[in-house]
Amino acid sequence: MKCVITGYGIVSRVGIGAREFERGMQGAPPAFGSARDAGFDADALIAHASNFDPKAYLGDKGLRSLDQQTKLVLAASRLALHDSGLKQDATWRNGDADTTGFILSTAYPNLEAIHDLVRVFILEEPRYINPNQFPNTVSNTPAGYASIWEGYRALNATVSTGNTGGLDAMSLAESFLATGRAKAIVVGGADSLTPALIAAIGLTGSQITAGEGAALFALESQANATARGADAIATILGFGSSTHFTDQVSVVAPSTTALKDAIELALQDAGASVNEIDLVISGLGAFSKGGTIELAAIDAVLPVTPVAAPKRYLGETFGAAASFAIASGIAWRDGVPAAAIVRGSCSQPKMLLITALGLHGNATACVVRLNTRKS
Amino acid sequence: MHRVGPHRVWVTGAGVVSSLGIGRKAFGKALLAGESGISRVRAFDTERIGRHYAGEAHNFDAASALTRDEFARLDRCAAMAVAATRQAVEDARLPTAENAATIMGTTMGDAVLLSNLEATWITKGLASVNPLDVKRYSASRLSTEVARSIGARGTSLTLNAACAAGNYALGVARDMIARGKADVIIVGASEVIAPLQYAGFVRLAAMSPDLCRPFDANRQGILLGEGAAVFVIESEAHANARGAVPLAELGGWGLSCDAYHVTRPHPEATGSIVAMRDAIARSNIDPSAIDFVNAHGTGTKYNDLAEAIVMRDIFGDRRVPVTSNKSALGHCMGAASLLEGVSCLVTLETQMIPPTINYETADPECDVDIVANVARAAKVDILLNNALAFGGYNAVTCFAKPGALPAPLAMEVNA
Repeated sequence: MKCVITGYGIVSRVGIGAREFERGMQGAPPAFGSARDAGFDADALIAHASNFDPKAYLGDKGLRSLDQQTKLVLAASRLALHDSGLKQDATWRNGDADTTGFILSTAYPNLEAIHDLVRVFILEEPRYINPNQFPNTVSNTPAGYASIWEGYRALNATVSTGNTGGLDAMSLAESFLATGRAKAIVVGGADSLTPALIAAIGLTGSQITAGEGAALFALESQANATARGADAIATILGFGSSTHFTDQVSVVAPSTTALKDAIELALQDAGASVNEIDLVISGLGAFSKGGTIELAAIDAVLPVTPVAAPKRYLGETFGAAASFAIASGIAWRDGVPAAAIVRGSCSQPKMLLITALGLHGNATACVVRLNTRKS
Repeated sequence: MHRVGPHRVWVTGAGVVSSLGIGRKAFGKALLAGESGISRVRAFDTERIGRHYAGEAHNFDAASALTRDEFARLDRCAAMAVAATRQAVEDARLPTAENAATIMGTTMGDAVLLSNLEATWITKGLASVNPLDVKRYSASRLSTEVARSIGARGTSLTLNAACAAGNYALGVARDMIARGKADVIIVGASEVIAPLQYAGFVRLAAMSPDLCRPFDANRQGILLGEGAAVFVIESEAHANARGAVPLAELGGWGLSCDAYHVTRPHPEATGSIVAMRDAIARSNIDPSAIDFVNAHGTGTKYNDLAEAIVMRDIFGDRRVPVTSNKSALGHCMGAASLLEGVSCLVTLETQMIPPTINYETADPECDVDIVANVARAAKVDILLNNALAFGGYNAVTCFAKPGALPAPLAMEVNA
């Protein structure tokens, strides 16, 4: 089924909300910041969403037991509902709770809570573990809170496939929409910066500039969008995913073959030819080895198509990265800034190929068509 | 690849790692015998936590179940999943898994590894943390390592759906095949017990001091368990083409979200009722066709009351037999509903319903037909497997004897 995006919500370092994000992505990438300046005990560059004040979007009640990732999710979820018109002034208007679902991609959903509570467990006593904080150690809790806050009752799911998760979550949403389990699904990815994540990147020497944020889309069938008069910003035309390992030893094992296969399957699923793709929005920029592998896969299928790298703006946002890639495509519909371009040049792209390379043999790709906006 | 559905979906093989045995035959025999997999916790010291029992798979030997490379690479959650996968592929006599997708469910994955890394950081300093161990921590590895173990090249997906994760994985996989998006899928779930989780459930006042007594008036809460269950599922055409013998057909599945509380089910079970009605409707049957319900049955009052409400709402005065495998296995969290799915296969094969053990005192608020303490012979052609979870997740799957379900409904309602 061809699903359409009718609105989106963003919490990111380059902007909060769709319009602010679009303006931010059309300019120059902001410089990455110091982890130490952001309060982390590490000498590293990070892409911190320091501009995010959850109270501005969520009020100041009920936030105490929530971790940073959940706050990112809740704010982006609320923004997506309002940008799509499913809610207006915090009230369901063109949708309803019983027919709207929520799906989240997250690579590291529980780092903050486990980091905190293991310290209580070891340094204090197990009986001091805060029972209100304990649910945050469970991977689907941020998504569960989204349903509690907004009322998504049709379904709720959490996908953990690392860097491919944003596309895998959207593919899952397509399946749920196609089979009539929901009329609309708010779907996308979120991950947050935590002390454990920043320490892990330092230990492994992977030279990733870790980022944080949430990018969530209101996804629905074209028929549902038309029936409620919603603006279909973009159409999801097809997905492809594949898995491949070249050895039996490596733990981190990104695969050119897997991504090449995923790209070909996505083009086939979309009924699109290589020549129709105006722009590849890649995961390049995360780490050098992954970049080489990802570009090799893109080259194998689309050797001359322009390639962009939104991570130059956003850092590595892991489970949110592929969702941010789609949002970046929407932001660049009137032109891709030179700072984002890895090769070629592109003005007013219409057909996008989103590529996502997993660290563990998995890869996913997705074809997106940008539509002319009503306003 | 894409062939227009709807396609019938067969289960053609299953593998199990559990406190009640390794392999579906041993597991089924122990369940029907009313054995308990509960024992004093050996994996970690429970003295400071104040509770001491769980369903650990003491008989799982990762070194003998895995290759040397896998044993070096994998932590316990993925190791159990890979071992169960090999069993399932062998049970299904699947000659090659190259075209298979892999979908796995879990609550936490190998979060024990994460807790151990944090513990090293706290007690010995960050410099003592092994970078290779850091690289090993990733939730996505559960499904990709399963794919790697059998050379599967299709979609690889890990779903975190807390204690309904097994049903989520099975349901998503079932729909992929029914829609013609895949021919064969390795679908499973795996979970281990971490000290932090164990202590957390104690702090939620949800952990029993001794036994798990679902639906009993004197229940005292859950016991945790661990294990993995993996199925091979195929389209009818794919199974027939290779002469596979189906163990069961998968009917439609239902899901919903309570949107009520992060740890407790809705007191009126509204979401759970929606999910069960959806599973029945999507199986193209009505409630009168259901012969048995394998309950979520955690042994907490909130859960038991919610499930009793669901049974009354769906089946009215008809007393459909209910059992809880968690009385014997403990609550294996993300793996629970697929281990219980294997129990469903056992029931369809043997026409015996495993007992809810430890049941002594009827709870007047849970007026359901418990299969208490001793396995019951029953004609079971079609059954439901119920799951509820943190986050307000509800998911219900349907298993049937091959040929018992009517033709599947059209899947693509939003073409």
